[in-house]
Amino acid sequence: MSGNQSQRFINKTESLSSITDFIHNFASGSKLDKNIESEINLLIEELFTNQVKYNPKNPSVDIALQSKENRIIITFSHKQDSSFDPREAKADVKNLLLQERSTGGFGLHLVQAFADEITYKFENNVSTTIIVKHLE
Amino acid sequence: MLKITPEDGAIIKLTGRLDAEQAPKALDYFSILNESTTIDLKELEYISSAGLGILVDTYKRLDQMGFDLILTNMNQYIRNVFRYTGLDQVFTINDS
Repeated sequence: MSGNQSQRFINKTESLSSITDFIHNFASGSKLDKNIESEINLLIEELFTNQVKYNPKNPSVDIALQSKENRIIITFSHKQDSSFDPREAKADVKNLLLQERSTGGFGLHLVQAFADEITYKFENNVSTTIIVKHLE
Repeated sequence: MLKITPEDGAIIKLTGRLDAEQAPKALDYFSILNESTTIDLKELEYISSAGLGILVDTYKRLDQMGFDLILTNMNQYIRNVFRYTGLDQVFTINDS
């Protein structure tokens, strides 16, 4: 199994439908099951919505998907003024009582939970997150 | 797309996707609930943190009013989302 796909998306919440279609086309072509497709969708949506919320001046985001040797590799990159490493986001929501949780805060926690590997680099004002998802 | 269908017995059926784009639609609907409610997720394919936040807010609001929010028929992916956030220990989740 191998294949790859990449596309640029406008940095607005309204792009999510196009992103969902992009992921679905990749998943269909790579013969991924529905659960894996949903997990990939979640990983990308959480990074994307975080980007829309905290870096609204950035015009676009580049997303690439690659299937290789029983792994899915997600590359998420965009312009940014300063480094933001998603691996360093707080991930302690699981042990907080529900009444103490804020409405937000689940997103990057879920990225950390569903990703098998996360790498991050920040070079020349371009932020790149690479997530690897292992297939069973 | 997200479809919200009220059914008999204070049951609400969700169909499709509860993501950040669809979350405002769910928020409009859930914010006026004022009784114990069961949400049937059998036909909900996908949820993200945006949808999760709306369910948590609805749970908290109903709980403060003395009502319950029960979730049924989660697929494996949605069950994992609840498990990884610890919310499976907070919500009442039924499989049937």
